[in-house]
Amino acid sequence: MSGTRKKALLKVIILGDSGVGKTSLMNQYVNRRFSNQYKATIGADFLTRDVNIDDRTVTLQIWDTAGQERFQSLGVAFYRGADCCVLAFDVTNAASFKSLDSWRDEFLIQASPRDPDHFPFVLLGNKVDLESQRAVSSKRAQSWCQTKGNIPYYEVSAKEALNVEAAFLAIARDALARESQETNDFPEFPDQIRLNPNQQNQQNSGCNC
Amino acid sequence: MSTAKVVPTPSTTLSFDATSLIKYKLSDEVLAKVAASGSLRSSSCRSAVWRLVLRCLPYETKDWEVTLSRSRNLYRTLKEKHLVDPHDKKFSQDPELNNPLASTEHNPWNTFFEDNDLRDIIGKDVSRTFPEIEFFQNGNIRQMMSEILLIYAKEHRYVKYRQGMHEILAPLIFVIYLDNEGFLHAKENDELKTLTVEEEDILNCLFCKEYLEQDSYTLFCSVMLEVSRWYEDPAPSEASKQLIPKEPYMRVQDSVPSSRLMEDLVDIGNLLQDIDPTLAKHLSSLDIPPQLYGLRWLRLLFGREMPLHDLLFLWDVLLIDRPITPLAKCIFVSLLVQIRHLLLTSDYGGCLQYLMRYPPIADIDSFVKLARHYRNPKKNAKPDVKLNNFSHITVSGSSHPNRTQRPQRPVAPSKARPELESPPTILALAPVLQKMKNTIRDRSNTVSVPSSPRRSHEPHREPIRNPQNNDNWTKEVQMMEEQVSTLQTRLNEQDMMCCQISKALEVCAEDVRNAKSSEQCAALAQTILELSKTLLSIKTVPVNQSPSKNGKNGNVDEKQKLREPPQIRHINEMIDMTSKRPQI
Repeated sequence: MSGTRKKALLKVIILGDSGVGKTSLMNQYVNRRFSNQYKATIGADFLTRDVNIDDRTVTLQIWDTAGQERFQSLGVAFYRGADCCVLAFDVTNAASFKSLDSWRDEFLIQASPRDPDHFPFVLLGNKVDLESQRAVSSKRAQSWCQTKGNIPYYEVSAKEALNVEAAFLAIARDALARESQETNDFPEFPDQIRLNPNQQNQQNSGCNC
Repeated sequence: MSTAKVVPTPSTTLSFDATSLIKYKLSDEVLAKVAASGSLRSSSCRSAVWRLVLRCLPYETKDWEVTLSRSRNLYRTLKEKHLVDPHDKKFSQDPELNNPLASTEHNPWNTFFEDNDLRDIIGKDVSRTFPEIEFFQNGNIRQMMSEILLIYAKEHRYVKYRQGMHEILAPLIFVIYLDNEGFLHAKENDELKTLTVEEEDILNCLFCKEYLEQDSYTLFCSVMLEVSRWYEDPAPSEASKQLIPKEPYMRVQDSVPSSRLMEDLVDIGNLLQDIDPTLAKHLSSLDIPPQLYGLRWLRLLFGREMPLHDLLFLWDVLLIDRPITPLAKCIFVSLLVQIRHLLLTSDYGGCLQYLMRYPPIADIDSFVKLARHYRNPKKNAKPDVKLNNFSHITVSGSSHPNRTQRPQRPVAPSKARPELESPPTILALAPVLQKMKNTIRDRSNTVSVPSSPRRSHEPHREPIRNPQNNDNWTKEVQMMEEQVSTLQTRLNEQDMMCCQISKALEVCAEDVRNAKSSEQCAALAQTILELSKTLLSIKTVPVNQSPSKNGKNGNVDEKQKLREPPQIRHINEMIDMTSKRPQI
């Protein structure tokens, strides 16, 4: 499976608070449309789009998630195998910006990539068309990104189709570049057997002699 | 009609109206038959039937008024208890005592701010409820829904409010509203002549407009008793608390089910394995277990997998078979079996797009029969009809991503004609006629308007480079595409019905050939006449007519007018609305 995956499939997961526009972003990117008639996402949604990057066709599998849903109800292993995590917030809603930390942390806990410090995240500040209502400055978002290991930050508008294409393309490029570097976020094989005393095998073994 | 209590049989309940509610001796068994026959689809007592089978109302009609006044009062009390207004005189208005900025105990402002957060969350979802149906755009209805959900959340602290509950509530409030209107209409039309004064009073009390909110709350609570198991928080697992290395090969289906929702989804996977091992194997080889897509199916009771009018019929059958979990599992599996030919020929992305955007079912009657067959194979025969879906569109009427996205299979505009997987084969004559009648009646209720303008029928669409400059142009195109897909949906339905009628006519012709007596001939002539009427009634709606006077079904019975809700947005209104909308 991983052989074909490396060729042309990227799994992208969009996370963020309810109402920041995750579904709109996904649909704008995949269908190049905006509607203000989206229903609330329940659980998760899924769309694919093929893109050409350097003469290579790459299929992006985009998972849109429900803003109110925390990871556990979606199943523990839902996020595994993700190549990139898109964090989204609404620039007119400061609370959605404050939640970013917890979204990022929970993703790292649930997906547990091998190298959490370098796992590709991207931050999208949506709804920049509503400039007059802006509550989170670009600078503030950027400095958050810096503290998280220089996450790329894009200011986008799903409504105006502003920067969405560019952001997703960058996401795809970034994830693809990592693949070619042979880095492996989710190891094929477990690391060497660890003689880790605080693992569960200790609890069960009655006899260690 | 005699006033004696008569036990109705499905054949006598073609129209189940307010009078039947009072006159017949009803029971779960009788109502189960009525529901399965599809009679409630054209009935204006659906909400009453739901309330009976869910025990919001007793079967003894004499007790209705007492029961209703009790539940309505209860809701009022709950509202007083939970909706705290810090400005109320019962609280001290002295900021020394009750300061909005103080977090002291018993400060009404605490609850007030807490509630506001909850209100915000609920409001976000309520405002996104069935955007294609005008009824839900009404401010009063939204307000009612928000209050109901807020009270429910505060009364049921173990489940609280979770996204999705709003779409359980929405059909309930819709159905009660329609029935209240329907009752008024029946009264105006003098259709309740056979009732005594007392009987009419009982119905007046039941279908009382003023208590829409109260009655919806009561019904919602009863439905939630069945559904809340799928909304519960999963038991906290160790995994969420700390960073621990997990099994590298772990897949969704390998994780230990931590909630009843996940347990049920695992069961559904096993059920599919028993019923359709080939399909189960295919999906499992692609790593697509029910846990991956089934959360929404169960939490919304399949609310996004079919249009509202079909959904209500499904709920007729589902709500009476309590606890509903076993039948819900069978419906789930039937949905998979129904599109097995699509799934078996799709890859991972294709399968998921079909499962996340379920292609509309062409024949809901047969579908429900299939689900009931899996529920009880001995009692309910397996329908021998070939099952079909409109695989090229989504429930909202837009093009299906599996048809538009695949670069290797671009959809040419000329190919956007209906693509039924194979022509529908015919059942016996009667059920088909019934189904067609139902479909036509339903269609007068709900105009399916695409909820989201998605990419439609053009294979190579240039990305919009400068949306500001092209604003008007894009708007026009989007609007036209919305119209095209709406019309396409209607065309598909009509094509299918025409196919069925033609088959039915063939059967008739065969019977005429073999007929021995003139009586048989007369009966057949009658059938042919009915078919002809049906054919006439599926004529296309002229676009320039307003929905309230639309005359598309001039020769179909009066009941339709009665069921014609003025709230549902018609395509003309949609066009109006789109052109008035400041920006898209």
